[in-house]
Amino acid sequence: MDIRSIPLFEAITRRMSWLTDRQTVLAENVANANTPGYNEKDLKEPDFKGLLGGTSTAVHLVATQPGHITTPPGGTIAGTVDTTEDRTLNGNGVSIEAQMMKVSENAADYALTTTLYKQNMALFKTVLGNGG
Amino acid sequence: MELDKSFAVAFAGMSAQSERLKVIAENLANADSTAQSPDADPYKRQVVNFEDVLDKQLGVDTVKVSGITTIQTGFGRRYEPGHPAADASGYVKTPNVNSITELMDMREAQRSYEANLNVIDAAKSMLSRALDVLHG
Repeated sequence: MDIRSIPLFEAITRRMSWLTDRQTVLAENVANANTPGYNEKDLKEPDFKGLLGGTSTAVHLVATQPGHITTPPGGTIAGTVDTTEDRTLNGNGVSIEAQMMKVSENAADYALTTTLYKQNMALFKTVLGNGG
Repeated sequence: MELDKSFAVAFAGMSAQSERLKVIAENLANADSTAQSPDADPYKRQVVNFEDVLDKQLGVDTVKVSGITTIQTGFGRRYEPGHPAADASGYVKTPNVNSITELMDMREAQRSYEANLNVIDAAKSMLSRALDVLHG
């Protein structure tokens, strides 16, 4: 049995990959904090509630022919949104303070998610009898 | 490995900022470099230009120094008749470097560099958390 087919684990895995993607987007913002005309971006928050209820709202591609492309595992690719609020004189819209806050929030969320994963894994191991 | 992208972007940001810091250091070091003859120009202030570039291999927006612009105007004048670069009326052209502006620029470069370092720290802690899952 694939562990990802359990809704909770699927949600956790997806959350982890979303947080990783968000970290990349935030890194792009910080690296371009002095690039003229650059707008800060953020990843759209995906719908995790649907996943936990067992009814995934994600749209998947159906492969009916051998050469068809399928949706990558890990699910929907969330788009980015422009979060620019204020601009400097050279037209740059990145607020380093806001980015730093988001980066630390992101790392904390990731820590929380991996802890959840470990805890749930421990439950499974207890049931299987080698949880130690 | 997805977190590699964060590292790559942050490293690109750091090297762009250190390039900028190098140019600022050149400006500050040459703040008093005048020309050798009356018809030549003294040291000209340089500024870096940043540009966001798409890293095609990783598919992320990194940053690079797209070029260094030399500012051609705004020289100062100082009265010093004995100087080799003094003109007929005894004035020497001085560089268009303003140390206060350069110091402000330096602070900004430093702050951006630190921000990139913070991103690397955060990505590193995420990575070690992910590896921690293995220990169950």
